[in-house]
Amino acid sequence: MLGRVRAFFDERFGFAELMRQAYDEQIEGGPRWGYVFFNAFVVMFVVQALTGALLMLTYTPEIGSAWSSVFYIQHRVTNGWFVRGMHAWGAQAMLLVLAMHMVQSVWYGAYKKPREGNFWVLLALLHLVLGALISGLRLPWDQLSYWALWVELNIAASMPVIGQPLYELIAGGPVLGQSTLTRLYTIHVIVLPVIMFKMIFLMWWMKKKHGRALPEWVKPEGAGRAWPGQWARDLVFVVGVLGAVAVVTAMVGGGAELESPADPYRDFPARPEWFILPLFKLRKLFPASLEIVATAVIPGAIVIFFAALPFLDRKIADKPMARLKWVAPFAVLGLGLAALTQMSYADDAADEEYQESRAAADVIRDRSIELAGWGIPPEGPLAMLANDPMTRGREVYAQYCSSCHVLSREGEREAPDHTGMGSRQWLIALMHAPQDDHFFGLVDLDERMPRQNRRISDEELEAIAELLYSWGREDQDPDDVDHELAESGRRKFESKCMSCHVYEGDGDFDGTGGPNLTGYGSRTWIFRQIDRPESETQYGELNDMPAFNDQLSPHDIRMATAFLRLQRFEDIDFEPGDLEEAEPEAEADAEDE
Amino acid sequence: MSEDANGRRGFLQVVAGLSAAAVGALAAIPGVGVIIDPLLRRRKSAGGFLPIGDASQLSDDGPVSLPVIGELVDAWTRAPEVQLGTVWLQKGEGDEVKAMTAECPHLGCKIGYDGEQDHFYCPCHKSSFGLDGSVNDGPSPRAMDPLEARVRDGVIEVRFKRFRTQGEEPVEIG
Repeated sequence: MLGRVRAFFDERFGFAELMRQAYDEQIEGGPRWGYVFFNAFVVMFVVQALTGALLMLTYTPEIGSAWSSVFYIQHRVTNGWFVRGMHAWGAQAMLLVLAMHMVQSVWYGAYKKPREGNFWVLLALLHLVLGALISGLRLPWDQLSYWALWVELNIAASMPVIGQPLYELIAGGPVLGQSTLTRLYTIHVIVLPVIMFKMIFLMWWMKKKHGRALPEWVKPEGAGRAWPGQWARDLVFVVGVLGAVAVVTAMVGGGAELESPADPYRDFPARPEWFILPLFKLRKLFPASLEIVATAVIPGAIVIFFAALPFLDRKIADKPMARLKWVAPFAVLGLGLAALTQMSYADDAADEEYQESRAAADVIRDRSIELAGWGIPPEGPLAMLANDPMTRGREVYAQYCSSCHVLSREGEREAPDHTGMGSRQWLIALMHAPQDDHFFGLVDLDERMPRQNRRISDEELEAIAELLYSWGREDQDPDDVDHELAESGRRKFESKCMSCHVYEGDGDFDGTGGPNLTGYGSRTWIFRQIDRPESETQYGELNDMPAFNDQLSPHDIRMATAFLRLQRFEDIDFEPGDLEEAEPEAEADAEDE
Repeated sequence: MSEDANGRRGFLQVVAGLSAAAVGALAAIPGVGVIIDPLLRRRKSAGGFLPIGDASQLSDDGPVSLPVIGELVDAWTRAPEVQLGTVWLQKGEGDEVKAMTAECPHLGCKIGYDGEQDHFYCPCHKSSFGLDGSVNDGPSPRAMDPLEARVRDGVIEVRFKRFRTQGEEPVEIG
């Protein structure tokens, strides 16, 4: 029955004949490992087409969604991370397989007449794979995609004559944007694959026409069928390569990497992938005026050398050692690429600035993934980050606040520490030693608050701290206030503190006594403190802090405010014991009054 | 061909076969998960009542349609305020309100109201429904799908759900 079904289809489609031809292909000298590379490349091309189509089920080439869709593939779609990893790392493995094929061709002298075409097609395929890799790795539209592409396109634009048009043709406009992504996507999923497919077909045809290129020094013994010897070798090699790709996929953070979403206004320590790294390093070895040597002249010369090799090296059948002057350049090239790569990694390992910006990028990347897990707003992943106090607030803080305040041991200490600001511990420490360097010791104030533990007992200070802590509490916070303690703190505060401080409109505030503590530590208070610290709701005439209302948008102040308010849930990071030691003279003076 | 050579041939054939299977397994089997992912994904029903408008919009003259606005999770996007659907509302006894979804149980087109004939109708396949939602005419397999609704402090609230088309009983999509 099965036989008749098979016969029915074979009569019409002729599969049996097709397979027989593939199986019976006569291989000069018999099957050998040296022949596996191109067949492996073809199998991997098919795997790439498959995994690529699977990614297309989710990927969305729109600059507001591309990152989100890749996040979704990586973290939500069943097995999405694995398919993405196999596609990204598999493509890089293809590059290596082609390079090995190239080495084998040079070793055997496989490019000699009439096989020059095979070598040129191989060279073309190498460039097509590079193009597919670069266009594909830029599709996630993350920080690396964006900045690497921007640099790459600017290098393209620096080429003489064709540079600018080439740049605009790829970018689809004067700068990177939606047209760039749509073009890259089209190039990646249809243009390059179709050209590669045709090249593979051409290669297959030329192999059929010319046969395998086996030099005489290999001493071929007769011929052999392709099945099963060559097939087994090809497939075992492919399994080895794909297995290695799967291991890399599983090891590198589960899948391929995804940086934070592309943002033209957020800096990023962009480094190209390993296969471009030698060029990256090479460019650094040249002064700006000679940049073109690294970006065009040297790479161009290498490609031209490759293309001309079949004409230069004509001594058929000579062993590699007899053709040393043509084989040696490849060894030099290989060593050069390895050396440049190593130098580039060593540069970064020794570059503290790079390490710091890399660490900062890691924080934003991890936060992006965390936020995206809760759902990305329709405005896109950048809006998600812009509305996140932990991201935007931290950035505003780093840029505008840390030149005077210390937070988590970073920043210049000229004003009160922000680590644990608003927490009970911080408030108690402040009342114990207001003139410590961690608080107001370094601030130029007309009035100096004295140590409160000289006039108020520790228990009472604890109660006052509870009261101050309660003023910063908001509805969404856990209800962790001891209301009874805070109430006793209120009585203490009213009798002991309101000679200098205002609270809910009461108290002696002529703008010079001490800061207005109405709503102290709340979002409103912190916002006003950043916005206009000299206003009567804050420090009034006593104020020594610059106002930021003309430097920061209300949104950015809100973000910094929300970021800072989180400190009330943290501990201070200096020993309260230190406080007893620190007693600036100004404090002693204030004490005497 | 010697027996040795035959044994080697057999071995190579097995190796080739197993390797081909391994390539397929590495590339294809994980891909099945990607393809059938939508079948594995179950949406949680939002569940709660959503405010959809002021009760003063209800009329004695006939049904009123209002959009339902709420949070929508669509793939990676979480949109806090988008239209989830449309409901037809009618005044009930006293403070009561009757709500039906405007999605036709036949093939999902949006049901409208014809004031002249005082009935609901579907523009696609001409199902028509009475004011109580029952099928008057046409291919719809069941009455318009009712939704839980109430008035709280003068605001109409609906527990919005979507149902699969077809079938004599409504089955929630999820």
